[in-house]
Amino acid sequence: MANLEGTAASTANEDVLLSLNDIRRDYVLGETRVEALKGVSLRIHRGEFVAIWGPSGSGKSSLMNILGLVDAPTSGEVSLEGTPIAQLTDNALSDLRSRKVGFVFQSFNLIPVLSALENVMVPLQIQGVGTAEVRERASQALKDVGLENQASARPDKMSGGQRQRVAIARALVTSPSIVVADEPTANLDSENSYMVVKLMRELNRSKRVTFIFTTHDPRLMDLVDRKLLLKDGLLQADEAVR
Amino acid sequence: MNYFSIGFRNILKNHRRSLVTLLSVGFGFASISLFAGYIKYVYSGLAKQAIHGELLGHLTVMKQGLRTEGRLHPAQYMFSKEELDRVMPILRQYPHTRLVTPRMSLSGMVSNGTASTVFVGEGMVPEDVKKLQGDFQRKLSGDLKADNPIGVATAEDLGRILNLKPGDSAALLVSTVTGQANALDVDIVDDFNTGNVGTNDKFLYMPFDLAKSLYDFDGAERLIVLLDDKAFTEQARTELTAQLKQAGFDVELKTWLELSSFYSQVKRLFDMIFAFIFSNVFIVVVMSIVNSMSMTVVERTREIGTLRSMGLRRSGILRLFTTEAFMLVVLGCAGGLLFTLLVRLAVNSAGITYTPPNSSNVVSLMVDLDVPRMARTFVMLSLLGIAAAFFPARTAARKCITDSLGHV
Repeated sequence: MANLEGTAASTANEDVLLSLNDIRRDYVLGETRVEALKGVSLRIHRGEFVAIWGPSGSGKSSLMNILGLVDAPTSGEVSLEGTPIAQLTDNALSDLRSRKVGFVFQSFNLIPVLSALENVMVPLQIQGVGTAEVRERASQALKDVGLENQASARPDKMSGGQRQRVAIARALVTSPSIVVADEPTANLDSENSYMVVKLMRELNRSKRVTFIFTTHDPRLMDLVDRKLLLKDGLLQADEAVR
Repeated sequence: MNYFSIGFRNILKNHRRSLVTLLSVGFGFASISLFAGYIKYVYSGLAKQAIHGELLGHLTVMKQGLRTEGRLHPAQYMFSKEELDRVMPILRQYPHTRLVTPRMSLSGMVSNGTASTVFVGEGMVPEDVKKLQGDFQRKLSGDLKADNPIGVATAEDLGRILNLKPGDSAALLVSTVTGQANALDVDIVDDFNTGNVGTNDKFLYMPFDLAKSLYDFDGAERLIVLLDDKAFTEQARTELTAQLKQAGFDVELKTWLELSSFYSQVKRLFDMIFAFIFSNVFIVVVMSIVNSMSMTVVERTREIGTLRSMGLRRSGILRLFTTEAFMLVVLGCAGGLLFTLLVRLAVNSAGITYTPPNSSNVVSLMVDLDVPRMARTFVMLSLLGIAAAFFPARTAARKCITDSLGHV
């Protein structure tokens, strides 16, 4: 069951955004070697809205880190838009993440000293976009998540749901190919969780951005195109939802 | 990325820690600046004392070998009258020259009629002494009277030893240029304090013509050149040496700095003390910045992971934290500068006086602004502050992004 690539999405090969081939990821904890991923192959297509679910310790976060290009597999190949990742230098990989990948974190990870708008501006500033354009695009991104009236608020003055919406705006402001969200609703109540995933879904449709997120919440599965079940470091199921 | 904005806001966010670091940088900068300012004032005072107080002028022109072989054969190493007539116009025509005056030094015995002691004498043109002293206030040389050709000024302790005071008479006994004894009666017209206990019981100033008579030599041992600015000293030495050599004179020109051993000794001592204080303060300040920045980097490990995942390069992380450290140094030094100016104002207006070691004069405690030294201190603090942030930030930037994101 380790190799289930493309079973649910029968999209043409040219639409493959992210490709994982026989990914293994081992960690060394003291004198023990832990196999978090035991050979996962997977293709994510452009515009998909994908949920990865499974019990704790199944390897979801390890897989998300590799999908987000912030971690390298112990073995196996990762390609983003046909570009093999393994050959890239750290700077090239940073630049690639900056242009192609957006992140939404479980704990929001907003920069506490910056306002909502300034937080959203950061990814564009990293890209070196001009100041006026940065402000304009960040304002639009905040508007897209319904927080235009919170632009000057600092994260500590915002609710969890608002913070996560700022994080989503930050992830989308660079118009990335893919947004990787590891447990984006874990720190939210059920109402906010639903709202956040619903918002992600709307943006996925309106902006044609690929979303991959992990969750434990079965209610949220109704909103996705595709769900991947990960268990004991292996992909156990790959189902199209609708 | 607006590194300055993020840095400044983090400084404000961690206000307690930042305050401790800023105080450390500020007081460190101020203590270095104040001490540098104090010694600058001392150096400036000592330079004035040497040039105008001790009447060294800026340059001393003498024949090559005067200070070595000249002791044995003085006549060969002094300027004759004919030579003076040729040398002095060359010195006077130099654009920065304000005064050229001849000098004759001699030593011998001074007697009050019942007791005698040794003296070290200097013959100088009375009218030129005033010009040489300029606006130098402290009386380190005596006022000779142009209308009294046998009027001499004694150092205070020399006068005290022989119970001589202005208005009294004394007798001077010296060896002439040919080694014969020569004695003349003189009038005491003034007394003065040399400012140095080692010379205050020996010095005696006399009119140049009197010195020539006593020494029985119609010429001068050396020539003193006063320039319009101390800054031209080296340039004048080079250019005048060349002109005099071209005119056929084998001379050497010594600057006031080379002749004032007291200035050099004090400067060496103060420079050593400054280096010691500077390094101590520096270590304290740098340790403070290292501590502050190390804590900041550790606390913001997750932020580093977030920024790295968003595509910020490792160099960007380094810039983020080094900018913050630089801002700490800039703000600390700005506070230190303000504190320096306030303390300087207070000290300079307090009228504090003290007697330096080995001195017989009371001097004022004043603080100058040594801008070049302050600038160097700022640059060094900035560089070390940046280095203090660089190493923990580099460690954090090199950390695996997933580890940084998982940091609690």
